[in-house]
Amino acid sequence: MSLLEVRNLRKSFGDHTVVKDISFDVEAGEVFGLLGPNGAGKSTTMNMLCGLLDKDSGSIKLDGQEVGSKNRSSRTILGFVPQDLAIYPDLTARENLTFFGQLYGITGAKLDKQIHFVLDNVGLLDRANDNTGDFSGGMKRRLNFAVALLHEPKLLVLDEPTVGVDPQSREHLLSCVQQLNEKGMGVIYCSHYMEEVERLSHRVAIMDQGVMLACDSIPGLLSLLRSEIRLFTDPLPENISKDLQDLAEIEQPSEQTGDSKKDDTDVLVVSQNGHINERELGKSVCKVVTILSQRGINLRSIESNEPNLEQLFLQLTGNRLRD
Amino acid sequence: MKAWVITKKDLTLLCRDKRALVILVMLPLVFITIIGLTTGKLMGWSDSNKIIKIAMFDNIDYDNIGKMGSFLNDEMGDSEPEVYELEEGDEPPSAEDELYDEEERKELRTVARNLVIKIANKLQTMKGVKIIEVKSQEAADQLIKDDEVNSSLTFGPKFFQRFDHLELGDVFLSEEGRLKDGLASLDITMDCKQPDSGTFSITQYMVRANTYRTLLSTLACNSNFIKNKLARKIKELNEANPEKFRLDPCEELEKESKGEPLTLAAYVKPKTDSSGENVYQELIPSYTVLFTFFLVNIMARSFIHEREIGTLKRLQIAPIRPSSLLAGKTIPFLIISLLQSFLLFSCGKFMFDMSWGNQPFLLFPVIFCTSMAATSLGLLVATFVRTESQVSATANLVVITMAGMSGCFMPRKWLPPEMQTFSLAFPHSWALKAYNQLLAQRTPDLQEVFICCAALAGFAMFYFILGSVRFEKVT
Repeated sequence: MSLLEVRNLRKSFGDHTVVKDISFDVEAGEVFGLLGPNGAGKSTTMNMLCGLLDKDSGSIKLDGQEVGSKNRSSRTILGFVPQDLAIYPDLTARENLTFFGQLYGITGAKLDKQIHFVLDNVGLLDRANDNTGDFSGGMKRRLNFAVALLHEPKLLVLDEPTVGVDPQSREHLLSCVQQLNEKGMGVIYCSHYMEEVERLSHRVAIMDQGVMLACDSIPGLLSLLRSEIRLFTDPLPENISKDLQDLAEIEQPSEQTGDSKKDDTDVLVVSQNGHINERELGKSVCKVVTILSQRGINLRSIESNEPNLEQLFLQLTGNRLRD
Repeated sequence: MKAWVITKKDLTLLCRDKRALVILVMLPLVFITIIGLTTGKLMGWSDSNKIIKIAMFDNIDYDNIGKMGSFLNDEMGDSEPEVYELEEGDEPPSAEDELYDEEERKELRTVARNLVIKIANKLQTMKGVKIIEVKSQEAADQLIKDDEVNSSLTFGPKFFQRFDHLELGDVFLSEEGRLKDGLASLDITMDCKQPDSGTFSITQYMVRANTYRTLLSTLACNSNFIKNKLARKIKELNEANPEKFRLDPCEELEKESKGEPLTLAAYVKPKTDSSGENVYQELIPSYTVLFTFFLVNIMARSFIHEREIGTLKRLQIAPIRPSSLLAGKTIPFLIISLLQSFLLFSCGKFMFDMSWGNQPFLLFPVIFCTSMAATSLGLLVATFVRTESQVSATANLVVITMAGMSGCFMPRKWLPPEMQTFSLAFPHSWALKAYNQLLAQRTPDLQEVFICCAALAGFAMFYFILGSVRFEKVT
């Protein structure tokens, strides 16, 4: 049984359906990245996962318990790090943590121990008794993160946790998430920073307009994109194309753009789908280079175009600006 | 338990929020003090304003007492003036001719002064009358001009001569005899800023009555018949009850004339009764009710702040019931409200001499129900406003309008009857009605106090249910 099971989740506001029958699982010890442009339905999905919003249909099961605004028992195993800071600026870091800890039923020595642990984890132990209103943005973010860890949740939901954070704090937060994950905590990581998602996530889902467009491991997702290597050569003789046709395409001059466009240059494009065929791609390139060498054709330069999450994201969601 | 965690947190935040503390505690105290000091006089509530103050000027021509001049050019309305015929060879009398020797003249001057003092002291023994003796007419006029006194009382130069002319019958037949012109007949004049006012008429009447009373007792001793009768009566009384020895008033009068002149008695402030009729008796409950409902403002701000800093979302995600969340957010304000009311009533009692009425313990249910209604209204308003500026506009409008229409700014009894009825739609009115019973009535109508508490509890329940439903909806 997965830690989190989401099945055919649907939510509408009036006539507008924001989440359309999405399904996914998150395993214990897995980091699940959730990507999507603004208005994709990510926040609504997360609000439903946290029990803030009631779903219209479908089911959400967290550790076997149905999640909903009425069912509060599942909330003790869920930690949520909201995008906006959610701490009291007029309380000290310790007072903030004590308050939220007590809300989760942690008291006494256990609470003191947990507070010490999370403060140490986020590097705020020496500032425990300072008013959080005096903290820097990064420190506030780290405390915001610490609050969600206090009750040792099984599933941690992070919504843009590194927005406006300095590189040091960002690195610290990401390391913390990795460490927690290594200890078996399930994580849903929602961010617009692709490199963060790519670094942390075992699997990634891309949502747009309430629909889950793709959900797979990162290599699996990247296999949806073409990986290509462009070889810039001296003008190719007529008869060579037959020898290369199974290995590479000869790019027509009209297709050449930018720096690659050179009047006396031909371009050979060797391509494969995704990273999983990287080795195959390398072999093909070697073969092409061998043929060119045998025919005495000069190889002037090589350009590699490897697929990444951002390309995939833009390919799936388009370039249209969102509100 | 979890509600208490939220309550504890909010109480900590409230105690650190100086603005909230100023609004809830300092502001009402400052308001009460200022309004009490400034409008108490205006509204005629203050004790000092209730006192009729009279500036008295003794302008008797003491030098002329016992001289012939005191009998010449007398304008007193004597119907049949005595005619003295001069014998041959006699010089016509001059004003400077002395009719008595110096010792006798001194006694007469003492009698004259004592008459003035006795009239003044008699006036001052009346509750709420204060006599201030001045040295000149200008000083008396200035005091009137400065509103320091209500009126002036001047014993003119001929007061004693006029008195000396009087007979007992003149006092009994004051409408016809030598006193037919009232105080003017005795060369006594009175003045004030508004001579047509009822207060001045009453003051004049008081002065006349006390003057005649004083003169009467002095004139009575001039009659041997009355003097003897009085002496016999006093003797009988003293024989019957030797322990309670009485002096003969005529003998006393004679003794007084030979001694030093009497002095003006010091003014004794009358004691207020247990109902403590002072300006703060009305101001404290009115402003306590007004500022109890100012919690609406602070409470709405607290909810908005919680929403703005994102912690409301965190609270909603936490494993607590919405009812615990609402209770946790409401109870601190209820506690603050109770403390605020207690503090204001204590300040009223210890700083402003306000009375807690005959049944002070009954104040607690009224304070409690009022605070409940206020905090529940705060919860309801918090679900309608989204920003701090909306709080400032909406909450203040709601609170001030309700307070104004209910009679928090002025005594409720001053409101037109229709408004008094209409204002029962607001909890403030019920609170004020209950406080009026407990603080202003000698015997509070307990049934009315109970009805008021029930109405306040009803308002609290109505606002809380509506607020809870709205809270669930908007969050």
